[in-house]
Amino acid sequence: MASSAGPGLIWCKRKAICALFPYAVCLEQDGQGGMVDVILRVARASDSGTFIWHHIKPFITTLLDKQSPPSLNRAIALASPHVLWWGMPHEKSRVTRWAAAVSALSYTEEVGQSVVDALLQIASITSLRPYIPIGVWAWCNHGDCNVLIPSSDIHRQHLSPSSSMFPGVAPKHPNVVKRATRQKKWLSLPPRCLGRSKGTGGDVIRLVRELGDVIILKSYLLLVWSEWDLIDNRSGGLAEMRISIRDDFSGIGMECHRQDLLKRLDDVLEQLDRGLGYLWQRKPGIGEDDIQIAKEQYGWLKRVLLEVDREAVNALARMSPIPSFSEVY
Amino acid sequence: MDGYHNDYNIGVDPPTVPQWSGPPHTIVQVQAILLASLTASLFSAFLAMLGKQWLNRYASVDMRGSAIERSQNRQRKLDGIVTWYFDHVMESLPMMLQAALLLLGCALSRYLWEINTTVALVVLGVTSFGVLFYLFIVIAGAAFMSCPYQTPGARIIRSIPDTISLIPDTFRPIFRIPGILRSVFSAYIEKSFSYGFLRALRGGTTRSPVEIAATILLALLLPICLIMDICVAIASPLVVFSYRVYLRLQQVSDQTAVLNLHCILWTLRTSLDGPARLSTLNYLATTTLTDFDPTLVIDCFDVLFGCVNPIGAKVVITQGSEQLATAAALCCLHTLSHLVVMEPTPRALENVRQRYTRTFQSEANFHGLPFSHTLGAIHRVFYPTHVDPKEIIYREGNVVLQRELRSRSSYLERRNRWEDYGPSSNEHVIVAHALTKIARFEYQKGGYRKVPRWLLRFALHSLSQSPLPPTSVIINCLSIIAIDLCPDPLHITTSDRRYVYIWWISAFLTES
Repeated sequence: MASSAGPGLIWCKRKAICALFPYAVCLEQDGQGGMVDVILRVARASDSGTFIWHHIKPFITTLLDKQSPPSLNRAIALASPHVLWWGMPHEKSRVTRWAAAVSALSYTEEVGQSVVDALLQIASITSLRPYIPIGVWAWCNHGDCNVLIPSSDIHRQHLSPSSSMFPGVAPKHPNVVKRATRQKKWLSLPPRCLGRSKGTGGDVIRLVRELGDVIILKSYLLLVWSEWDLIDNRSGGLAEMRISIRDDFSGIGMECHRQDLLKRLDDVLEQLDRGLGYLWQRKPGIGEDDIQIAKEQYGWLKRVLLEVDREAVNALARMSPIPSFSEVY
Repeated sequence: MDGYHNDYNIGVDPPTVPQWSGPPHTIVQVQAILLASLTASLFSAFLAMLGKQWLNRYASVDMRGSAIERSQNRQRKLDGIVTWYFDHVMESLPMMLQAALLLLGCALSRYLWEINTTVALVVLGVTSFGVLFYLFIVIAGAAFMSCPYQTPGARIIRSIPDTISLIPDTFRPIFRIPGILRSVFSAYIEKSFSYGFLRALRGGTTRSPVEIAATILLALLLPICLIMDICVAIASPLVVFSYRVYLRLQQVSDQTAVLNLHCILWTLRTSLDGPARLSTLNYLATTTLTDFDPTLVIDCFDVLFGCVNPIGAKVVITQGSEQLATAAALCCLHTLSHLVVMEPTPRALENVRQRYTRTFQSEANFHGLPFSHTLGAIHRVFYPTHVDPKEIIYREGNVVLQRELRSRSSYLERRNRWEDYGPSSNEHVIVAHALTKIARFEYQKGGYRKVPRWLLRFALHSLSQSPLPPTSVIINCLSIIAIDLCPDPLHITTSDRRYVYIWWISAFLTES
């Protein structure tokens, strides 16, 4: 519906759609979850990526009350990105209820997106940050393993000069591009979500780094770079990302992670190169200035990453120099 | 001539003219008038006795059945009295007695005139005085409603202007008679002229047998046609009148809904007993209005206005009228929603609007009233929040006016805060049902674009409750949502639209 109806119709009918949501939650409680999914998809497809009618927010917040039954776990997880986490009373109990609901669910892409979206929003609030269980961060690392990546993607990946670890070097075996390979498809956030813009603050990055798990850190970066968005530079987000790249992803053993990160940055830059018309479909109302700033931000991150990569290669070369002919024989 | 005289003078007695051996003519006339007077008196006495019996039957109380059944029985009898013009019949009794008295006076005067003029003049003077006095009170009663000497004659005189205004409608078929006649005659004359013209062309005055036969036939048919036309012209209004009487009599038969409505109307208009009015309003709020009278809305509002007292913008309840005011407000919403859906004629709604706006200002503050939400919903119908964009464009540049419009809009927005609305189950059902109808009305009024958001907020609030409200409320809330979501819900030709609404919601959301 979202794609066919369009944001205009959703905007026009937002109040009616929001008014229907409590009834959909009741149906969910009775085991009929279809309507919740559809309404949340509609909300996500709206211009702001969330419910546009503020009157629905108190109801969504009440879902996180202690009394809410376990049958609402899925609804809580799906609706959690639309909760007003700021200035909420009983914040600890609500975050605990959310975490309990999330931990009881199994992974699907839709649930995963909602969970990490809410997680990043919660993490951006200083008062709520201590109540996030460490285990919830594992949701960032979820993804469909063994997904068949289309050959066109591989072709793009290999032909893109910037994605190669050695810029300017063409792939050695062109036949490879005609085959499809099974890779892990990383979880990504929807184009319009609050979690991405809120979750790129310096505090959040520091929090993720403090977890000490490089996989989660990489997953986090892949999440916030899954679609282009202006990185929150006021709270030092961009600088913290640079520090993280230099400190956490340097070294020879991190090459595969750097490859994944570089690929994601290439995708984002490619999006930005497609022009305003394409980007307006995903984020209406953006301007040329925003795109220019975003290009600079992501380009800078990519340069940092390439620099780290080059340093790693140099370090490798220093550690194991090419033996001379006389040494071999 | 002489011979004639001779014959006459022969010893034969001339025949005598027969003389009247009965009572004199004057006596006959006087007796006739006296007997007429006596008959009228006796007939009025007879009717009076019958009337006493009828009134006893009307006043008798049926001891069986519930209060509602007894009320229906009483209302049935009251409706019969109105339909069969019982009051007219009863009022004719004094008129007959007055006529009898007049006849007696006339007869006495006439009789005594023959005997003694002086005595007759006394009687005639008294009778004339009586007649003049009666004419005076009739005219005074007709001219002044406050005159205590009201008579049936005065009422008849007062109704003459209205009757005259109705005559053209009632007797329109009769007024068509000249037209009918004209058409028949013109056809005949045209025919005659055309035959005459043909004859003139032929140059002779002789007629063919066909022409003669046609003329004779036409001459025979003409009166028949005329008679038939006149009969039809006279009979048609009679038939129409009879049919109307028949319909009215049918209406009075055992239709429970009509009886209930009449009972409610009668109680609200005539009773000043608080508990009786409260019971009636409680019954009205829960009943389904299959039959409807727009004046019912006005009666409900009259009760409400009698219970509240607007002091400036603030509205307060009269001491001890809390229950009655709450029930009246609920009934106002219930009947108003019925009015806007069933009879959304501008006139019917305008009457109610005028009464409402005379009592409550647009900035009326209902805060603190137990029925503030109900009254707020009614207020929304009469004072919509929506500000006409043309008005804003017209006033563009005038910052003060724009601010005023916006503040009024936001004030009305704040009025319907459903967040603190916690009605009883019964009240919730009634309000939800009424608001669904109002949503349909507002959607239609707004050009089939959207339902006002205060109604959607009500749906959101009701559906957000835990535990859920009664099923009826849920269905009505879904209906409100569906009216906004669905492209054209008013054109559904289904007996129960609500199920279609729910189906359409699903279709809308899962369209792709």
